[in-house]
Amino acid sequence: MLEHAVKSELITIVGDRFTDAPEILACYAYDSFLEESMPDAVIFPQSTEEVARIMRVADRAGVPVTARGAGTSVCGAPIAAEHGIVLCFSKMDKILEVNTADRYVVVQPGVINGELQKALAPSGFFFPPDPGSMNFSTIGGNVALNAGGPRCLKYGVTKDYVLGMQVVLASGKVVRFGSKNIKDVTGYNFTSLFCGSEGTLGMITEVTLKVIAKPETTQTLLVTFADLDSTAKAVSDIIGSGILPVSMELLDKMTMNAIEDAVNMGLPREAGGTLLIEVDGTREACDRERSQIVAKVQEHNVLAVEEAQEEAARNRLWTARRAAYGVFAKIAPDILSEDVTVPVSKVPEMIRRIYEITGKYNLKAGVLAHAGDGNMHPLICADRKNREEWQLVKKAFREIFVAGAELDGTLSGEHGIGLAKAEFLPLVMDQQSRDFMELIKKAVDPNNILNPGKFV
Amino acid sequence: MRESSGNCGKCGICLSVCPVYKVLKEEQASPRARVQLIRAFEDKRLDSSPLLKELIAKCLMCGTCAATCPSGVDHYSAFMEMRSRLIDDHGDRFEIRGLVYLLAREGRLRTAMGMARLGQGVLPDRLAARFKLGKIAVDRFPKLNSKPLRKTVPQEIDPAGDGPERGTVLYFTGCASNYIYAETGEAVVGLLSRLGYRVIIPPEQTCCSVPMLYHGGVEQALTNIERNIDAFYREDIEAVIVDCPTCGSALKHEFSAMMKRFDKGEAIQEKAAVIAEKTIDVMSFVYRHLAEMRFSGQAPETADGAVSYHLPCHLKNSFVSAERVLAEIEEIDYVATGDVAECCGGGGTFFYEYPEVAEKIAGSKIDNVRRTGAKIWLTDCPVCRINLSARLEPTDEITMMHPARYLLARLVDVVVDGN
Repeated sequence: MLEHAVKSELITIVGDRFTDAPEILACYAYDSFLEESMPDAVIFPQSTEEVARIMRVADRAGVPVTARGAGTSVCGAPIAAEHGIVLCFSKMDKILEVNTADRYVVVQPGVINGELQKALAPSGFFFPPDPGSMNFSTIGGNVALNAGGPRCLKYGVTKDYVLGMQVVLASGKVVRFGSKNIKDVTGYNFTSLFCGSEGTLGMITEVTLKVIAKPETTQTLLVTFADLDSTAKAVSDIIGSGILPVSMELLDKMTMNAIEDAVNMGLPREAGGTLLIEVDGTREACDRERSQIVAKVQEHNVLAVEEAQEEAARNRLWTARRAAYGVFAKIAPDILSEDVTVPVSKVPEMIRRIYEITGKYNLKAGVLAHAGDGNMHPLICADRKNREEWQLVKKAFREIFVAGAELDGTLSGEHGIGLAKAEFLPLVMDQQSRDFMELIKKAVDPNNILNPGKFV
Repeated sequence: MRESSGNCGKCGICLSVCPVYKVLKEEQASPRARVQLIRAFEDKRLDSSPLLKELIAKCLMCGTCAATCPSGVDHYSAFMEMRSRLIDDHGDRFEIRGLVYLLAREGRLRTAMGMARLGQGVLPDRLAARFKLGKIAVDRFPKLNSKPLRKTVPQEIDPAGDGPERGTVLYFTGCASNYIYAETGEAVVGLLSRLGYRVIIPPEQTCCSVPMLYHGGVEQALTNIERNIDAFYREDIEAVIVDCPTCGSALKHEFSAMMKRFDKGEAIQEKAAVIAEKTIDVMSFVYRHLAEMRFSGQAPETADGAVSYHLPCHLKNSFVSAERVLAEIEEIDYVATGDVAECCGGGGTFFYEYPEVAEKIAGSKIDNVRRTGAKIWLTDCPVCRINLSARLEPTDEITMMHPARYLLARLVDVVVDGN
């Protein structure tokens, strides 16, 4: 509960955009991850100035503040672990400037990724990061979690597109990093520091993003293989030979069948592994890359290659892929999906180990992956109420992270750490590196009010 | 309820399709939140309260979340049951209770509509323009039929034209065609008989029950559903035709679901299943026969021939968009808006209960249809039509009507195979 004086100060700033009714707080206790925690208040700011005033009150009173966009994080990043205020940016949703001549846009944090894409489409530009949640997640959340997505294989992740930002610090001071320039080495590269900071360093209230011109054509291939090992080998072979598709999605048999059960669109049920591959560029480049890929997969126990060039056919395949996360929820009450990531040459080995581990504990598991950049998505379906099973799930994930670390991998490719993986940080970051991270955190947030209870 | 809200993985896909969330941008206005609130209530983490009732009820019941959910959560049924529970605890607005009372008995409805018609006649125009219901001036609402459709059209209509009789269909008129838009009903009958069908309008039919189900009138709904099942169960008919997609969704889903939920016995459940199987919206029925139909190149009632369309949510989620009919007829100059499938914000009584939200949702649809330049705007659902047409300016000179009426006006001939 907030102190009465704090509450009335906050109401003076935002009026009825402050709420502490339990019915409404309950709607901000969750994201797309499993764990929940009730905040004491939810505030919808409308301007940087309001955020600054809110932060001054919170810092003085020592009240935790957790930023939230659409609440679609899959690691618990916007969960107010230590209660306090949830600062929900979903109503700061204006696209402030679209300047394709200079290749940038300026947006408020609550702009939905998909809405930005729609705004850019008429001028033939796009913003490459495409997390699975792109039609409902916000740019603020994408930046705070350094979101990736399928086409980041070729185009890079969110941090590669953030040119500048305006940030409200814990003290309430407003600072600006970066600029509108594609090239900028003026001072520290703070924008990168804030990408993936998960709201632990400051409140991002405005972002300048780089946008790029849409490629001339896009072609999509659905390749099925007899077994999963061949599928994984095809991935590292294609990437290793210098071909760089836009995206390369791997789906195992269980995932394909779960999707097909749900959407019933005639996906191949028998294949041991499936790759959804997309290439883009000029027509000539696409044709060449496509035939190179088709030739390459022949060496790996391929069953069939289906080509989709029309938009409708491509959308059909991508709709199936995007449904993957949700369809697993049909199988069991809870799903745990992680995103351990390894160098692409280690993909076959990593997939073998995931299967060994989940097989050992007899868990219902599937693997899908943005395989081209080694970003695995092992998914385990279980029931949290079954304690025994849930313990096994946790054990399995620990072992998967250990295996990833052994293969020079990392804990998270795109989901972030949040509540989900804080305990595993030592596997990939030694004490001194973690100390350094803490040092920075203490310097900018001495009272530890910014999203406390997370990884730092 | 467990199965219907149980497996929500909180992924958030529903946020991208919910018309209310898109406008309000608040989690508490999202389908995901409603599912979580129902869970919290069932787990006794949240008490029943007027605010909880409002959060659950601030929903258009368009069903698009359920149709989109990858985890198969049945939001629609879960919300319907929860609304009913909370209305039991906290009541409903006086005027909504009144509506449920009227719809529960055909006789009451007939009397009330008669009186309302009188009211429309005596209310001075100036007063009507100033008196607003759900942010819409009363004089922008449609005039009521001077006589209910079912009183002016015979109970059985012979097939028209020279072709052979193709079969018999039953027509569920719904309250809207019966009391407000007689022209729609007349057009449905006209199209069906021109296609060679014998049309029967069972006189015992009554309100489909959806308004009651949304507003806690479960008992009344059950009575109406059982009466309708009796009236529409006939083995020898080809189809049960609806012109209102919401009534249609009730015949297709709710009749059978309610008979099952309240254990009404196998016999009536089977009858409900047969009705569900045979229920089809009039435009999908026309689509089956499109190849036989010949249309005039001349557009009726306007110089500018372009026509646009709004897809009602319940048509989208329970049947198929009538856009395919318009797009396939060469003689029709159909211009689609980019947001043809977006909700209009009508949602039964939603536009009356939450006028600010409805106004925002409808606003962009209106802007977009203006941009097309079309002077005829078609939509199947009477609530969409009331909600949208009332927000058009007289200077727009845009006429709204059911696609059935438009098609009948353009229909020149029906050429049956071998004829």
